[in-house]
Amino acid sequence: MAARDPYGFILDPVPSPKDAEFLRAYEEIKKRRLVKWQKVMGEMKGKPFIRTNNLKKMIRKGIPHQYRPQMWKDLLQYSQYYTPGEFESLLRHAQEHRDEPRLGQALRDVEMDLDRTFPGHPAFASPAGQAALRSVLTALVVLRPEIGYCQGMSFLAATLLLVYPGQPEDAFWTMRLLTARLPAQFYSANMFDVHVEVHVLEDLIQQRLGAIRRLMRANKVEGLHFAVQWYVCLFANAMPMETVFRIWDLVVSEGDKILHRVAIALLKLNRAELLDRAEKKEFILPTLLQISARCYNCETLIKTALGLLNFKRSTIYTLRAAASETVARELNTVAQRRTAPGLIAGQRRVGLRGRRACRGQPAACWCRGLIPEPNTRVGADPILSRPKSRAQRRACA
Amino acid sequence: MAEPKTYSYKLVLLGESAVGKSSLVLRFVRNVFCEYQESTIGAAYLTKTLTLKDCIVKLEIWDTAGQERYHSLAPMYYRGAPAAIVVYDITNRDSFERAKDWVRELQKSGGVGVIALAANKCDLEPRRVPASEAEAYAEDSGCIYMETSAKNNINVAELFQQIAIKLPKQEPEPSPVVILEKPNVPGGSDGGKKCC
Ligand SMILES: Nc1nc2c(ncn2[C@@H]2O[C@H](COP(=O)(O)OP(=O)(O)O)[C@@H](O)[C@H]2O)c(=O)[nH]1
Ligand SMILES: [Mg+2]
Repeated sequence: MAARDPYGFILDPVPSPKDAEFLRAYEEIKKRRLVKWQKVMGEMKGKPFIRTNNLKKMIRKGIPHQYRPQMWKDLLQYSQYYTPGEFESLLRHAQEHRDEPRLGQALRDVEMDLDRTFPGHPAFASPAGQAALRSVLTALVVLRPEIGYCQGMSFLAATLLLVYPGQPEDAFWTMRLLTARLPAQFYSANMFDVHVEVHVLEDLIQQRLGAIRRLMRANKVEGLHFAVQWYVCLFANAMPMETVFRIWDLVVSEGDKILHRVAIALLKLNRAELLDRAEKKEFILPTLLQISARCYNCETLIKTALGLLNFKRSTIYTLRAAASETVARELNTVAQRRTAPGLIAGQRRVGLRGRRACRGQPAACWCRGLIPEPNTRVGADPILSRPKSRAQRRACA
Repeated sequence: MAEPKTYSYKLVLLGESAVGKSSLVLRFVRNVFCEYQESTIGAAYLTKTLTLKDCIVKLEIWDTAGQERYHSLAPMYYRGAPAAIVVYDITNRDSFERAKDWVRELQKSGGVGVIALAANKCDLEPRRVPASEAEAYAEDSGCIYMETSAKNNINVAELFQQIAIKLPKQEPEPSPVVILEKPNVPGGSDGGKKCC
């Protein structure tokens, strides 16, 4: 039988001897950290949740898995948004309206991916596991009809179901709150913001890893060739699960910028090998496509990601603004080439109008009356769109 | 005798979600089949070298995501690709209509010379697209037509072989990828947590 990780996934590819050694040592490190967490969790019990600096530091070293369910809820401000009954009512709506064309199509898309999401994992092979996955995705589709179902979302839902096993309602709410932290048009009809983020990544590679950017040019490799899966699934189906959870700890605690840090760190850690391949006149793309799956050493990855200097939010916003213009142009050209633009082109136009008004600001500012008709905005989730922190209010002003 | 010449080509697979694009590629490249194939996000890249009668053909295969909203990525893969396989599922009428859209788009773009239409899952019942209809369509639009089953390994190697034979063998190398890779390097973004 193939070896599995503590979460039930087959270790594939097989860890190198060095990584296997790391994984053994890592279990000890986790035990030490758990002791500290037990103390802090005891102290926090019964008090309102505050993300102190100390807690932030501890989260950066990984939340023990038994505390993830609670910590992720706290960090996502679950109790502030949770509405009893909403999940069931969304599912009822789906039952009653499944004959509507748009909803019907989205539900069929969901159905198609149920047994294609972590297919090697026992939790999703069982009818109960698939039913849970179906209900999380169905509720999200009903909640955001203009987004519907985007392939890749099933991996997010499945990851959350591993944290909230047998509790689709918790997985639904955390997925809703988690995706609200992503740029608004991430999963929209043309995945505008995924394109933008990958463009931003290319610019960051240019700034920080110039040699790799040159190699990409020489090999005619674009960011979209290897990074789409990283961003769409928040690495969920691209990396070993422990590494995924460590990244998600940071996304729920600190926001989506961490995805860029992780992507740059991953490339940086593999720079030598990429340069070496190029030296031997070998194509670099297979390496670029493999580096995530074999990233077992989550400690080194996270340390490298958080250690990147001068990684300013403002830089990301500036790059996003510039990339938005480019992506709008590119997607326009693609759309014009299409034989049947229809619905897709319509939704794209809505997106672009919003974009220009918003200048690459994060999703939270979309609520500030910048765009008149909130309901036509792709990706808007009204209950989530009030700015929550002072920093965000400033960003929106 | 002189060494046989090696030609490399980019080949892209297109078609609706879940028609069996990834399964066809994995059957061809690794001779495996997963009942539950993880859905492709973005695209996967694999290579395979074929030995023909008088030359060697290296295929650099891009297996794309099928959902409509990933469509905007497709030109990046078929641009500069001299060959494409458009796949549909014979038990799903819509997937055939979608395949025709793909063929039209490829022909409009002009660059893709060899297009094959793969009528996949031919092991399954009930059939919703008559072979005669699809064959007539393929003939009219100048496509190779092949009934395939990734599951039962029917016509998979033949499909790729026919494409390899039909691709023009001329200098310079038609592939836009200038840096050659050693054959048999495992590729693909389908790494991670798979079932086989
Ligand atoms: N019966 C049968 N099933 C197939 C065949 N090819 C693929 N499948 C199944 O169809 C589903 C989708 O296949 P996949 O290769 O992921 O489709 P893709 O989305 O086009 O890449 C999987 O569950 C496969 O096991 C086939 O030839 N016969
Ligand atoms: Mg696929």
